[in-house]
Amino acid sequence: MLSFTRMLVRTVAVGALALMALTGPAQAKTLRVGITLHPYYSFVANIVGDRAKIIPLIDSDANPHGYAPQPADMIRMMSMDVMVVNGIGHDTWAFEILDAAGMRNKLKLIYANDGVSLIPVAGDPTGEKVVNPHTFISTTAAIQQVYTIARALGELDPENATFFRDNARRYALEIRKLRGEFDAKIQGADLSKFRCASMHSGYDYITQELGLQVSAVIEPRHGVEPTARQLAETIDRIKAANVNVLFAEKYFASKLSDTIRDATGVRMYSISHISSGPYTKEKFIEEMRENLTTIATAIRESAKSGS
Amino acid sequence: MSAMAYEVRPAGGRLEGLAMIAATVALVGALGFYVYWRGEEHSIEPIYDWQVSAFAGLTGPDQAIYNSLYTVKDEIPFIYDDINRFNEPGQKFHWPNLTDFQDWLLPPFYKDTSWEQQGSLNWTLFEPLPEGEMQGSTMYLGTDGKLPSQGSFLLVIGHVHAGFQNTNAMVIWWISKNHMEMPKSGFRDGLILQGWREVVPYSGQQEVKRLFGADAVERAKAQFNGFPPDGTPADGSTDGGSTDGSSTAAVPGDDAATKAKNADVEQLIQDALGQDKGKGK
Repeated sequence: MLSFTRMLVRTVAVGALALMALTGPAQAKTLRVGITLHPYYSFVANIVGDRAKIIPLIDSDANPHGYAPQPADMIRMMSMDVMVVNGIGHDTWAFEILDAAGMRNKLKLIYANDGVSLIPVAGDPTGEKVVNPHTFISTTAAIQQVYTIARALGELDPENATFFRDNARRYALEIRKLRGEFDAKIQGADLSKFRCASMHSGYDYITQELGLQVSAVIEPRHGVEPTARQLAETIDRIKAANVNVLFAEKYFASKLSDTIRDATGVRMYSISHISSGPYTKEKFIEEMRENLTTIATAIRESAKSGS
Repeated sequence: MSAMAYEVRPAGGRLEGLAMIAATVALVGALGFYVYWRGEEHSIEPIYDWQVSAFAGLTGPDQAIYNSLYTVKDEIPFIYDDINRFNEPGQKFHWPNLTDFQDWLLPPFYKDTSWEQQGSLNWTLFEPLPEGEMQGSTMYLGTDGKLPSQGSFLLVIGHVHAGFQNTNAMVIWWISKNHMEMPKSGFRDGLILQGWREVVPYSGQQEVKRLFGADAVERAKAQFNGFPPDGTPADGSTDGGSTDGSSTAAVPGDDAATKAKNADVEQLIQDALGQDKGKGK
């Protein structure tokens, strides 16, 4: 009996050791992943689960358009192992902080847009092809970024590379399902009557993915308000193109949109730039779902109005 | 009294003129040398005659279709693994077909309203000979779009083992013709002769190079040496870095000071997250 008890203890001990060997030692240090924009918080949170810590570079309520770097940003940056950046014009302040903190060429950077096929700003009256940095207000371009981030994090943390990749795939499917929901909402609607303009170029990727044409963009450049002459010309273009929907920014309201609505009679709808409010894992999906619902509403109402 | 005009020349006028010329030459020379020494060439990758830029050459629906294909090419290998994972021994491996793509909701193949808006391209799959004796490449042809002046697309998946090329590669081709038949093979030269043009993206990586210099991406990747390489903190300092699970920034000094500073950093992170507002400050 005694020998049986010893055998049992030995078996349990060996089993426990084997289990420890299988699960591996506790990670010595958790990867600390910095992010610059709200969507990247959601992307990274869904990729890494509880196997990394996410550090936003700037406060959640800061406006990323024309952001002025703060000392606290540098301290947060210095606690990061790697930082995910847009890198194509929407977080230029992050590079100012890199320089100010002496972290240029020291902090690892993941350029989320590395593998994204970029598009020009739509509706530019000059015909100039200017890169549109709003790749994160989208589904397809967002998925491409999720894969790029997961791949880069997997290179940094090979032990979790498969975990990150599988999570990225699962999350990509979740994003894609948003398109299915959108499709169900506009079933039977006549899209030929839908003609839109937008306050700024933030929604070009999502409208292009959905097959919707943007006839005019009010802001001549990202974050730059039009002059009186430019505004008058844009109003003329909106009237000439029979635009019936104007997409305005949800978080950064402008009186300009009211002026244009009054001058042209377009219906106005608010779209989220996904760049304000608390950083959460769910934010991107929630706000994109809201955006797609808004666009579906605009399409249905355009079809009904017959204009 | 009549007015008289006098020309007054400075005593060192000639010397001043020479000094000014010498200073100008020196300044221009110094600037020229600096540009030669530190200047960076921001070259845009050339587009050849047999290529077309997705950014500048395609528009509207064709650009959208290309961008979807560009993302899909990363996903097709995953789907290939998934659908062949539980194959019986000896069962032929196969590439995902159009029905598989419907299950995965994969644009531009997935038939939803966006697909209709983008011309309802008719997609077909060409799968070459079975694995092991494969000759040629897997191809997806999208053609017969309903929109005016819409082109056709061809996604070619090359295989190393078929002698197709040196690496497994996926190439997206476009032609301005509305109707095309499935090509006999996916070899580049043959496709070019038929009028197909390889679509090249203007990628985020190219834009980063334009904005931050040709070696920006390489510089960022050079930092990727695995994690954690040697416990070296992110800021590159070598003193005082902690390697335990609670490590934050590398802070020189004793444990108490390190912990206090780390606590401050944690508070800053909580502030940024928009949580615990009002607690720390």
